[in-house]
Amino acid sequence: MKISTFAGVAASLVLATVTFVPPVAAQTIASKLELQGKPKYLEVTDLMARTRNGLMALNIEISNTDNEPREAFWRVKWLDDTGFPVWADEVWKPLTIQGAAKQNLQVTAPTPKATDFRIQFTAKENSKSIF
Amino acid sequence: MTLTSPTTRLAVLSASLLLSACATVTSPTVGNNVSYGDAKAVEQVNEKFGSTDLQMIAEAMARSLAESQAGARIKPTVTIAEVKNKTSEYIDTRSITDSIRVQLLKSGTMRFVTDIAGMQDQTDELNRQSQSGLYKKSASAKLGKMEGAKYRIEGNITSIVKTGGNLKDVYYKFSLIMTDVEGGTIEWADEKEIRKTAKR
Repeated sequence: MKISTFAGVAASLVLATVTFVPPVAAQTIASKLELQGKPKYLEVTDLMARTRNGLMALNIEISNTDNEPREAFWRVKWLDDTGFPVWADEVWKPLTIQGAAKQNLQVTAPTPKATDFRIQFTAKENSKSIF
Repeated sequence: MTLTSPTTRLAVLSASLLLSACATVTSPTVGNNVSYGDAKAVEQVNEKFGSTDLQMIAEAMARSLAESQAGARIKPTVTIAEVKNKTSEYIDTRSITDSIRVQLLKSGTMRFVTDIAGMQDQTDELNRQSQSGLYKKSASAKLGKMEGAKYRIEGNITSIVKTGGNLKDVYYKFSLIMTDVEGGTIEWADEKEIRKTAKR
């Protein structure tokens, strides 16, 4: 009985440990995006980050699924390991992507203190929410 | 009569609502004719050079300059010379270079020495401290200790304006170069382009 109780407790601890460990796949594109609305025609299709000479550099690929040029606004929030912002708010940058095209945005962190980031993105045309 | 009775509960609720309606919280403002906006928002009032253009240029140039010096063991000393405005409109280029300097100093990649515009004030203060005889020698700035710039940054902004029908197209190009003062070689250059189209 004691053994079975111990086994039960051990199993619970293992389960709890597995539950609280963040999954490796958490670093998805979606986890790095802060969308303001759901873009109707534009989509972040690729995102690469690397550190060069101590400065983080990003390459963001935006795709336009429509045949007409579409507009959006974007900026990057630079964070440290703890998620604390290390730089003042950037200016919102306008962006026009030609119809059925992809565009790469390249940006470098302003300070070596930046080790993480969030891309704030808002399209001019968003899908209407049913709620 | 207990608090659980429906009549009492209704009375308490009514009193609470009345109190909350009376206690309106006022904003710490004087007057209500002006509203403050987001200084980082995209300004699209007209096609003329605006705050978003200035901020985008300063950000792009500062990032590019910082990247060019990232990883260097010694932070180079830099001075900012003139950015010539070759457009047909009035643009305060000094404001652009001031923003670039602020961002580079905050990033910690470069050190800036007194530029030509600030040299008179700098030498006046230096002479006052070192030659007026009013200050303690141990706690005053001495002549001959100023640092010279290793690099000089300068550039220009140009524009192409075209009008056709009800459309006006403005293209801006901001170019910046960094020259090694001693060698005269251009060590870094970059440019930022902006296109704005307005319907009349």
